[in-house]
Amino acid sequence: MNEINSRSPLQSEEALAAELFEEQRLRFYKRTGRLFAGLMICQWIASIFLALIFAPLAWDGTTSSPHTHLLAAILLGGIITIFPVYMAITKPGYVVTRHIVGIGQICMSALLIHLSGGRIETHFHIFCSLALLAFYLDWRVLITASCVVALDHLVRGAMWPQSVYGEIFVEPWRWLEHTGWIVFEDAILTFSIKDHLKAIEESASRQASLAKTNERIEIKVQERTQELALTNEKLQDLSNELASSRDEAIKASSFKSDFLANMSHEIRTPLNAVIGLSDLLMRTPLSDEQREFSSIINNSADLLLDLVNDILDYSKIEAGKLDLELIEFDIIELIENTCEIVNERARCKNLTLSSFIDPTISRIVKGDPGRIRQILLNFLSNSIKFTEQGEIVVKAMGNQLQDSESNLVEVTFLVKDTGIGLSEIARERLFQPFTQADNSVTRKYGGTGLGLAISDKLVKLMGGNIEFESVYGKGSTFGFKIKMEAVLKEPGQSLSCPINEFNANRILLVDGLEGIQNVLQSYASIMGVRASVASDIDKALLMMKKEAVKDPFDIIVFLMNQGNEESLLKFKNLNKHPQLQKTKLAVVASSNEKEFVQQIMQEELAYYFSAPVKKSKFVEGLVTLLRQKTDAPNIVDSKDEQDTKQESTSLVLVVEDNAANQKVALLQLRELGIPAHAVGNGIEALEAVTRTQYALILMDCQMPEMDGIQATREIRKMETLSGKRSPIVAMTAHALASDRLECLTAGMDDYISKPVNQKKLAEVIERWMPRVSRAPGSNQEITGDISIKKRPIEIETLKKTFGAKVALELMQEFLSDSRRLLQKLDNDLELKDLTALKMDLHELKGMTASLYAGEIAELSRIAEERIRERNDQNHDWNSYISAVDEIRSAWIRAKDYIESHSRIL
Amino acid sequence: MNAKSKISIAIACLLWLVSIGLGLYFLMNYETTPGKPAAPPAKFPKDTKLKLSSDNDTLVMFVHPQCPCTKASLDQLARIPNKDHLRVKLVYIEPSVKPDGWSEKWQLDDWTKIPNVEVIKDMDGVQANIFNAKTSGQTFLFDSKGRLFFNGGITAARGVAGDNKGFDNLCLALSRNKDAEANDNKLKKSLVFGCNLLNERN
Repeated sequence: MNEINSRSPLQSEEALAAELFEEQRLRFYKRTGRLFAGLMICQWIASIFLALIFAPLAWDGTTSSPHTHLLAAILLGGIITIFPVYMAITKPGYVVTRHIVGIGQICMSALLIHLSGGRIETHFHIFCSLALLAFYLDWRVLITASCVVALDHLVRGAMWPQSVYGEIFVEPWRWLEHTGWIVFEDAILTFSIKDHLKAIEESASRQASLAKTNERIEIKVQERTQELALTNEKLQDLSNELASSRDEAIKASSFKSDFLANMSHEIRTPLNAVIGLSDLLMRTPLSDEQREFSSIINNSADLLLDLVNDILDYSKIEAGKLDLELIEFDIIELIENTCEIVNERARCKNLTLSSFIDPTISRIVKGDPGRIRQILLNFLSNSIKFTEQGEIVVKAMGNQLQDSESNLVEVTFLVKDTGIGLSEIARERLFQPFTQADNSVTRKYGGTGLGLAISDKLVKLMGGNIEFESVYGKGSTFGFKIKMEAVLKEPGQSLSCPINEFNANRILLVDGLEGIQNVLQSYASIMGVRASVASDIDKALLMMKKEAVKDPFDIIVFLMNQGNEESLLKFKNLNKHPQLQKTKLAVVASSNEKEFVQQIMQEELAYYFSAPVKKSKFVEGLVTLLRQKTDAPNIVDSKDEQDTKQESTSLVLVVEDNAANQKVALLQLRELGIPAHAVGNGIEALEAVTRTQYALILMDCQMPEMDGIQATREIRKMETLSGKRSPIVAMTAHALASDRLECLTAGMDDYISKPVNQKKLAEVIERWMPRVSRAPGSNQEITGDISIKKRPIEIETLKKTFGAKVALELMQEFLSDSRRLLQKLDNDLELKDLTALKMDLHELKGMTASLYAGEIAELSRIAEERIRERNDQNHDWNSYISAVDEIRSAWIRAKDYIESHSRIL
Repeated sequence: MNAKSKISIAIACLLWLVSIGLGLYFLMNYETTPGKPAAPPAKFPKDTKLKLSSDNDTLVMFVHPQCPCTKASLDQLARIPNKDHLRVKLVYIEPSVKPDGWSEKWQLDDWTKIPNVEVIKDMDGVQANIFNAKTSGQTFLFDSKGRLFFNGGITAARGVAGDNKGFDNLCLALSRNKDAEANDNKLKKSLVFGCNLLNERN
């Protein structure tokens, strides 16, 4: 087949078939020639044997000689054999060869007949020879051999008929009979030859076809192989390009990561300075115009910081550099704290904000609370932005997954509002970055359009999807569902009461929006308390009247959904209604507007729930109210407090940058009957001293712009010119002797360490203002011990010191100031600004110490000292982060304590 | 194949064919060359030790035991029909001194077992001389009165059995009308194909 395949590809199939056929025939010729060569030699040898056996010697009496037959066998047999054998070997396949072989074979037959004495059986050799000659597949050879037979018959028949026919007298037609037999055999053999040749021809044709097919296949294979080689080359080139692109992408990603990291710091640092300084600027004495400009700068800087944070977050997510935390957190705390963060904004728009957490889901789960908070804040921010009136409800619903081996729960977070809703266009563009619902929204409501895009990506990272429902003009609900691992198997939080304790009790929720009504109803039902709803006061009164005999309401909860005069009036009217004389009245309102809260407090009130209402607080409040045997006592009225302070004629200047501390100091001085002025930093102090001669200056050491040390030096310089001198007493949280020495060296006269309690202050006043008589103040010793107390904040001490009303104000100051400082601490940690961190910790320490929040003060002190000890050595920022987290936890405890124990929630 | 080769082959072929032809001719010629004819006695010799049958014809065949042609003569002898009424004297020559090459293989063994056939050894060809037989296969047919009715061979050629004129003549002689007196001219003759019974010198 290889030989066939090596032929010219231009040869046609027919030509190839013919060539193959001829080759096949030639093989037959050669093979048959070799066959006959062997046969003839064997025959020759056989004839000699025959002669040796049957006629070896001829005798003449007793004299013998080789028989003529033997000589004939040897010589004649040799002659007959040698030439054909020679031709078969030297000229195989030639036409003449096979004809010579044919003649020789027949002559050998004739010789054998002679040697056998003309035996008829020997004639069979002729027929066999003819049949063998057919192997040549050439009928012409048969003709030649047959002609030799005919010639032999002719000659011998004439000369010796007995040897041909076996008879003396032969009929004339006997030769025909012999001829006929020969012809018959020839005909059969010729037919067989033709048939055989046809088979060979067909075989050759098939072979040729196969060869051509193989040829075509080979050509195709070569073509495909070439194509494959080209394709491989292209693939290799593409692969190289891909590798190169991948390397470039990796570099770009790496560059992006570095850029993000660097830019994050580089952008935030000056921005923080802008925010911080504008904030500080606003604390300085400014004209109205300057204050307005500072406010704009501050607000703009805040917005810019938000934008930068959003962009950097988005870039991080896009670069795949954002990692989610997996830590345990409290879902209830997360939701409620998140609501608190935005509550002020909601309150400013008179929106009711409430939250509901499904009691069936596990309270403690594992996840990324920071990012979940970020998403919820985004939803809440949008809801507040796009809701002009009504309410916003935040919900967390749970679903334990079927797989009992895992602790996975599916938590759905929802934020539902009664805002403007989404148009069709807005829906399509919702999650696209840098797009708002439409351009008019951007102009009216502001915003970068990144919040939802970031939230969407964060939710996807958590394995969920943001879903929303919206009716244009009526409101929207945004939510997402994620799976988290439950840490506490037992769902919800334990109630502070047995489940069935209050099954007989009823409450009526009056007014308010549907969302908060549903939330409070759910909270009540957890306790087993039956809660009904009345959409307005009139309906509430009707319901109360109807149920008064059989199943009266134990508590009326008025939902003051808007902190305005109208809702306040409604509340007052309700409170005065005779039907409420024997029923406890509680109110839900926002607590951030001080005057508003004060007016509420002036009413006869069983309980005040500050919105957004925390579940734990609402439950505790209800438990407290329902367990009370007597009518709810009123909250201590600030009107009961008598102000007996004498007004001093000597003036004290309080130089303190922290508002809370400033307030504390002023109040304490007022208690002592000493009038006082307050300024926020050293520069203001210089201005104040320039205008007024103070009997005493209480100077905080650590202040922005100009600290106490510098201010003291400047004041002393001024006094050298004026000749008048005021005693300066340092007020500082630093407790080291070196700090005191520094103060004294600067020109201060005395030193008082924070927290400054009343007693210490009185001693200082006594020392440096002996002519000033102190008004009979409270004899209550305020220990103000800075050591960590069991209670996170000494509310009772504050109340005793300043009265309930002032204590309330101070606690509110504490909450807002400390919240602000905590945020600053977070920022300082993120920017790794050690100086700002120390300053803010110092301020927090002082402020909380003054307000008897000992735990926070102590933790702040420890953290500040830890930083101070390190100085310029390597700082362990992780430990600082942990310290701030501890402070935050202590703050939350203090906050909860304030809310739960002051009846101010 | 070039022209020179073709010519060479043609010439060789021609020579070859001629050689074969000549060879076959000489072979055939040898086979058809008879031996010396016998000058037989008119009557059965009286000095022979062979016994003439008084009742039947007596066939006497002289054979050379070593001659290859003897077999053909014996094959023909076997073909004679109605041998029951025939007494066959098969006489073979045996020299008193056997020369080299004289085979001991006895091709007349079977004939010894056939009834009415007497195989007689003719030492040194004495009887052959009496009968004047010269060639192996020489056959005589005598009637019971000793008259000769056949003289010759009964094979077609040397060593060739089968139909032949001599055998036919013998059969004719055997089937003659024995009662007819005028049988003197009924002697049948034929050629004898075989080796010399005796040496030429003899």
